[in-house]
Amino acid sequence: MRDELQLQIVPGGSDSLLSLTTTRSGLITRGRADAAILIAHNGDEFEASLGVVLCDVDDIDARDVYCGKALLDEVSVSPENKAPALEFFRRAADQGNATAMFNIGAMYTHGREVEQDYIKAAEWYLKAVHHGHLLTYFNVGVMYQNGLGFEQNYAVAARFYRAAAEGTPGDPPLFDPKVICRLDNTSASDLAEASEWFGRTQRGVPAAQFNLGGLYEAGAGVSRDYLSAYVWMKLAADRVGEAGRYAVGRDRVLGKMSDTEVAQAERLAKALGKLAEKRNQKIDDVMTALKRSLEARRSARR
Amino acid sequence: MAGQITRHLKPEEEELLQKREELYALRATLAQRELDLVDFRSELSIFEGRYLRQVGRLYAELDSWKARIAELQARLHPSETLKAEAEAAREHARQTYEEAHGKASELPDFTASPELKSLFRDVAKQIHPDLSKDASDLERRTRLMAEANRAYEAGDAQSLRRILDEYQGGADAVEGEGIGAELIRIIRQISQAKSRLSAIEQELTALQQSEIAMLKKQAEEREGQGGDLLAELANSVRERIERARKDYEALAAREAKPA
Repeated sequence: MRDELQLQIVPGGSDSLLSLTTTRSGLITRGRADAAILIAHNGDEFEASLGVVLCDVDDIDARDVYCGKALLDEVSVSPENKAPALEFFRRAADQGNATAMFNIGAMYTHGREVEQDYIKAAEWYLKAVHHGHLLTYFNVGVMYQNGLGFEQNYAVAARFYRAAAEGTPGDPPLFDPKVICRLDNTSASDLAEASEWFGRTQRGVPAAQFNLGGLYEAGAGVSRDYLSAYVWMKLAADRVGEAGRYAVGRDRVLGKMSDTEVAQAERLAKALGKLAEKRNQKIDDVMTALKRSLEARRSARR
Repeated sequence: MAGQITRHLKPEEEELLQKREELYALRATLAQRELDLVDFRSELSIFEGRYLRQVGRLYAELDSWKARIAELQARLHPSETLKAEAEAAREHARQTYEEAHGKASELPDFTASPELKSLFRDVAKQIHPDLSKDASDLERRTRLMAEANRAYEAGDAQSLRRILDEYQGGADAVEGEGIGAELIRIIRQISQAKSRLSAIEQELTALQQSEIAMLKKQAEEREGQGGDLLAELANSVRERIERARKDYEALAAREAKPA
């Protein structure tokens, strides 16, 4: 029986100064994302090293002569060799070599052989990104996340991580990894897409996968989503090994999940395992085929 | 006891007794949950005030530097896009400023004393709107309850006492209603109290899932690890302000002597 006494009253609710229903909630969300990242960083939960890597500039002789090799080996270079490092990479970069651009960016990031300058690093990284250099996407993500060289922006950091994590520089990522949850009863096209996506992630940058997971966990730049955090951290851990901190992060995320999410995560892990199996199978097949054709050529020569 | 003469209660009388007891117990529960709710809300408000003062205002400062940079850039390289960006940045900075410096940021820190809590429970028990008998009573109770909530959040015991007095002063004696009428009234009151209880639970859950509650939880966890989250947040925003200030000065120098 309903009558006028059944009015729903929330005493004091509308007078409250709390942020819940005001625009101020934006300011709270902002602090919360920053706080999550801050806590994660203190606990070293993000991959932050902007590694100076690679020197696969095509001209191997030149690489050894100039200090590319020195950079690689982290051997300190004598003062007279300093200029050539930059000079060498610059020349390669002028010819469109993305790794050289990346290396110049990395030199500026670390102040190696040059004075540390995040803005210059950012400029060079962006050039390398323009050439689709995958690892650079990770570095740019780190710089956006930490506000180095760029204005801090988690959403942009997440986009760059995602490109590096999926191994798809430039391409807008379309696949939702959570589809994999349902792989047992899904369409063939979903399966094909999932398997294609999985193959790409195996070429992606594990550190970027891990950091992307961290942003999902913190809800920074992306909506908080433990399942997505789990997917990316698991992919990273599977690549790098159980002993590392990627596995620790993955298990930490599991610990924060609700029971339903845990069940989903388990399904997901199983499906990922199947995708990996399938892929390894394919690789084995290719290797066998290669070996066979080599044998055939060898015997033809004889 | 064998010799005792007992009058057998009529079924409706027995029912009335039971329902009265049920209502009595519900009143106590309702008052307690009402207190839990107002307590939690006021804890969150206080925390939010602290956050806005310690961190929010720094965000406002950061946004204002960003707006200055954007404006300077628009002056250095005049274009429609940069002009629009500068305006957006200025507007954003204005909003952040308002949010960070609004009324909510001025809430004083206070912890409710046990006396205040028990006083509030008494008030809630007596005047809770869901226990009202008729429409005019409901109106009065609703108004007083809202006042009580405000008084509690402000730590104002005196007002709580006044509210209690005011209600009791105006309370009319129980009019001679028949058993049937009283039973219906009590059943209705019970159902109202129950629905208010479940509304309180829902509101508490919603509050617990709010961003400010999560932030507060993070801060408490941090405190458990020996840290001070708001201070750390403030430091990290200060560093960003410092960087923005340097960027601004570098740009301003460029404006002063164009290449």
